Amino acid sequence: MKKLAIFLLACLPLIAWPALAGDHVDSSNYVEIGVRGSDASKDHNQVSEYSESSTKINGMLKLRTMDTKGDLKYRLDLALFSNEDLKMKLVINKGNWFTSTTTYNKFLHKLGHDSLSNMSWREAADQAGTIPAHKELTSVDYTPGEEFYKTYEDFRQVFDIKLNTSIPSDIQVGFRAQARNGYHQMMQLSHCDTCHVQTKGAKLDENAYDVWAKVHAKVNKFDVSYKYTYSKFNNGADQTSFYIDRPRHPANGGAIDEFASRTLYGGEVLPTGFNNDNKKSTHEVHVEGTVGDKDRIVAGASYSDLTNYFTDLDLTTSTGSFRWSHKCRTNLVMDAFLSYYTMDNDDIFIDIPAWRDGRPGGGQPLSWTRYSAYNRDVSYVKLRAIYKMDGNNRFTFSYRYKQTDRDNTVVNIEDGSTDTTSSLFKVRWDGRYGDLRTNLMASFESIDHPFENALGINEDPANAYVPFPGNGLIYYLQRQVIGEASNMPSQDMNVRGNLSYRFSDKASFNMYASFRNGENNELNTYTMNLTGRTAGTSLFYVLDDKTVLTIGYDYSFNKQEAVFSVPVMDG
Amino acid sequence: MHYGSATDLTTNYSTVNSYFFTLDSRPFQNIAVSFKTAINNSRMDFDPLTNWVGPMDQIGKLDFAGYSEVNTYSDLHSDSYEFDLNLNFIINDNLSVLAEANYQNFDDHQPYVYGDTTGRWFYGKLSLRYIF
Repeated sequence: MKKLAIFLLACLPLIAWPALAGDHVDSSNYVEIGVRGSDASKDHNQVSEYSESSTKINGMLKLRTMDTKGDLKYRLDLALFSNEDLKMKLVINKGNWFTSTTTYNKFLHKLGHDSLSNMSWREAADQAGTIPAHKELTSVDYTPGEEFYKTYEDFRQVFDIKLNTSIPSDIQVGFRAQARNGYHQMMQLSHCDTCHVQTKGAKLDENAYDVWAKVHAKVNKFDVSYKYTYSKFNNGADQTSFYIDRPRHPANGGAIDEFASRTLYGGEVLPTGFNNDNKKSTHEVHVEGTVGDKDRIVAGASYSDLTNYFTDLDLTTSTGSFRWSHKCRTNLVMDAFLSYYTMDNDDIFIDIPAWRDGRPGGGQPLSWTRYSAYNRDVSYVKLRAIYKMDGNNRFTFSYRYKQTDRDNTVVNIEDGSTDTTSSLFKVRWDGRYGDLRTNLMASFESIDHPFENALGINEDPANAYVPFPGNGLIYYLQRQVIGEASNMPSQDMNVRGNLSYRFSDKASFNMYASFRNGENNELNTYTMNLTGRTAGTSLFYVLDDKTVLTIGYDYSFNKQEAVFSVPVMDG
Repeated sequence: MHYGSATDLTTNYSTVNSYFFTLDSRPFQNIAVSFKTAINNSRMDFDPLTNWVGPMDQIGKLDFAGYSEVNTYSDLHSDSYEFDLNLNFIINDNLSVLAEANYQNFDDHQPYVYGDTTGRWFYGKLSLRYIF
């Protein structure tokens, strides 16, 4: 047991630190009362992102109390550090049939402040940049120096009750409430005359609730359960608004009617950036059990319906999965895994005025139906074999085929495909030689049409656009964009290894390394290459009966190509 | 007039080095000490945009040489280190005095949109624990 503990500590060296610090109170009732304080210099948003940093002394309280009276027992763990940093867990058991678990957690998160100081630019009328021209980018911060933050709260109450029925069964009823409160930064971009970015603070008051009921029964060798969850999101913050600049010519400030006819709004105060209220219902069924001595089956299905109260849009998701494991021989296990889900989001009609309505050559209709990029069917099948060659060596082979069939999002210009398919091959070796543990994994994935920003970059250089039929003024509403860009590979190779060695009961050593190489050669603009490397090592050493030392190092490096695309135009 | 797009391929790099060291000791029967330190160096940048391809010469006023500095706008480079010391003085089987000191430093060598986020943070705690 001691050897196992040392090995685990070597793998997770940071465990060692609280282990001794916590010393002998793990199974005791205690109360801890004290004072605490902090101080920060210069900027404190990074160095203490999740901690308070006010220069003052606060009291603190930690408490653990547990007791048993007959078949009733309870345990309370409480840590109160401040009004914005507290944690609580209370567990009550009655016999072996009733458990109540209550938890509450609250902490602070500092968000930083973007002063928009980099948002300043002006066009030059000469190549030397000495003569200022008219087009410019300006910015204004209406709440300069304001501290932005949020507090996160998470409360859960779960009741587990075993039923006195002929077959083993139990129910679970739970409630969870999460809240985010504080003050965050909101931005608005006006592009109606020139580029004008505005920012100011806004109140944050968001609440999410989940309530669920779950029934579980053990039928013969199968565990069967059904769970229903109702979720709700509520935004209690006041709507934040910005003044949207009046549309006009960027150089001379004129042509107001012309520029207004090209925009939907301007010269008015309008709301912005609001998370709408929504609700969600989820049904889940789960079956798990053994068939005979050699087979095990796990199956699940779910259906959820998410409704946005403001837009009245529905997003439904259905999932299904099945896994079958078969023990072919004492040293060979094979399993098959099937998974499928489908998402269906309502279409929405974007009803907007015609472009340049009432202007010469204008009136082109712009209203359109937005088909959701969520809509898709995703399925995959995975086959795996685990072969234990002898007491020292085990091999795992797996193959996974995955298909993502999108309804509306094109991911390849050449054939107009909306599908992504991939084949993943993986092999792993686990070795165990005395006090040495090691494993090596290699995988290769070939992806047809990985997700990309199709038609996302590079304007069509052809100048031969012709006027709309019967229209001598308008040649096009938007230039054709013809380039593909992506940060996803079409071929992805990974190798990863790990080695642990226990020198003695007092010392152990661990090291790991990984390498990744991928490329996307499907794009019509460039070949994207990526490379990744990680490595690390840790050493655990018991100097004597009183001192434990842990030391470690981790390294990671990633390299990836991307393309910059700049439209070249004048006028 | 539109002439198409000019493009330049660049490479983005990110590197993270992390070191940690912990020492847990009970030098005396009634004193337990824990010392922890963590050091981190992170940086991210991408190559300058100096190999443009496309119709750059179509418009005399366009200054593509100016893009050679774009990569420096979003460089990220920071060093951080943390020291944490915990002391537990055990008075008797029921009573202990605990003390904790934590110091963290963050050096922002390449300030970005949130400005220079260089900062230091100190935290201290002194408490009495009673086991019942």
